[in-house]
Amino acid sequence: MMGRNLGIGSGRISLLLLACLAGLLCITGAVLAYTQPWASSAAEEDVEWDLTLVGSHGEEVTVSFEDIKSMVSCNGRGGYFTTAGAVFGPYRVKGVSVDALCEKVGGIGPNDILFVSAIDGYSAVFDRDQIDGNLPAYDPETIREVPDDSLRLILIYEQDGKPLSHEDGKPLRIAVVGDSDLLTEGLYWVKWVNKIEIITP
Amino acid sequence: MRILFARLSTALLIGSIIASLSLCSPGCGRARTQLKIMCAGSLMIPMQELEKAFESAHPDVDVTVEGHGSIQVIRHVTELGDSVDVMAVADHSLIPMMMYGKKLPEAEEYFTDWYIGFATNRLGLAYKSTSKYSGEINEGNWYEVLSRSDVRLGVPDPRIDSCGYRSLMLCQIAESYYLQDDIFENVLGTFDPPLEVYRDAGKDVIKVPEIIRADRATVRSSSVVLLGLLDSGDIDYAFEYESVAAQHDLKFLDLPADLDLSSTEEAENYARVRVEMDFQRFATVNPEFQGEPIEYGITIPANCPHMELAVKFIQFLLGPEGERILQQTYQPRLSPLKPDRPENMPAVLREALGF
Repeated sequence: MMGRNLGIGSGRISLLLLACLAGLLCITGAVLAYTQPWASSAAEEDVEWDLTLVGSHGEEVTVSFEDIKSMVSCNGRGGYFTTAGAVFGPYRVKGVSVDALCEKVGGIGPNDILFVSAIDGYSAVFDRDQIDGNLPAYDPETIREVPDDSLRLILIYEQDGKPLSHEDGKPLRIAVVGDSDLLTEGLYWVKWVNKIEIITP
Repeated sequence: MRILFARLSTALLIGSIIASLSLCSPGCGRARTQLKIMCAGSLMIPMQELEKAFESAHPDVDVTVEGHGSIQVIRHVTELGDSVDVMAVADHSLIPMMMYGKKLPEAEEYFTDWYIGFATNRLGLAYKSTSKYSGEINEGNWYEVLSRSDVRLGVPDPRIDSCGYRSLMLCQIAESYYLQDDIFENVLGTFDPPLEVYRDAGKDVIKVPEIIRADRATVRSSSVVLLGLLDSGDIDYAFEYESVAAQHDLKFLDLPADLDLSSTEEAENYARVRVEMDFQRFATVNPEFQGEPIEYGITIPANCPHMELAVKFIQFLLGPEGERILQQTYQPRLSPLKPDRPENMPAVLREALGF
């Protein structure tokens, strides 16, 4: 009797154990799926990228991505919107001061213009005022202008604690950031930066 | 006990199924075909209405509409490698400039070799009833009103936005129209470095410097920002397309067709002005723009993922339902349509449109 009961019972127990295992695996997978990004997070991958800096007197210095990461970093918050009104961010970002970078080639003078170029052929220009953060800032909800004197221009390599994705301008991007969650116009947020040139008009 | 085990097994099985479903990618189980439309910012509202209507007529299709500046629309396909089914821009001349003669990666085919001019617009002044002198401004005195020291004018950045360089053209053409040679500076104010205007082979050339610093005008990268400033009362007037003003319930001051870049009959007049940029924002775009009637262009890139559907979408847009939607969203449609190199179009589209 016991043997017969055990035979029938063990079949059910096996089924139950199988269901438990399947459930456990699925639940674990689901938890992992929601806590890990779908795109692989490039935590500390080696990045081969050179940034060319050109000073106002023509001096040229090439810095690697690792060189940039070894510089004193700075943080900030900010986001941007496109000409069609699509909003990105605000993000928590980390990078280096554009001013500090440009010190490697003599620094940016009060009347100088900064040309920032990207690997895809896009460029943006900034004057001294804009490098100092004198740019309009906007409320993320209303896109209304709000005053903010904490803005500054930095070259970022990290966004929300992770390296930049390709869509976000990996590995280097210009960002206009401040101390609060405000937006600036997207044309300043140059992705895939590979050259910064100082021009004295 | 048996019942308990049975219930536990059932619960775990159901839990497994639910958890398994959660492992699916966001697209898992979705049977609809994605049709991607990329368009100029000023077309967003009409395209979003077209999206809804097309999806109603084609329940197996999921239309996504993405808006950018016109140059960026094209670059997304030709330089950033995006898969796009239909592209619509606010300046038709950008399509041949940036796509004709440019080959697909590792292929002999060009990104495109045709387009259809399908819509137009007019440039004027958007404002509100609370704007200064709103009760007084008209097509005969607008330049005098805008030159008053207490009036704040918004202008899209000419280096970034086609509406911006078209605004400069309008102000320059106005000098000949009203026979006053200081309208350009009086309306726009001065810039540092200055916006130079000089004559070259019978044309007025406006040279836009690398950096724009305006002493009076409020210059912003796009109309999205200027609309916000109008709404908040931070500016009184903004140069804007009529369709955009209407879509946002703003007042719009009509200007004479001789100025507003809307009329093909005035093409020769518009062509007397040209804008040149000192700053080349995109390596592949020649920064010179000729005055001409505003014409929106639409095309299908050769590497689009869904050619047949893309053709159907354009047929829909240019058909009676699309025409109704364009009218409802204040987007003037060109009539007749203006095809460029129709012999290169998909035959189905060419025949349906009678080219």
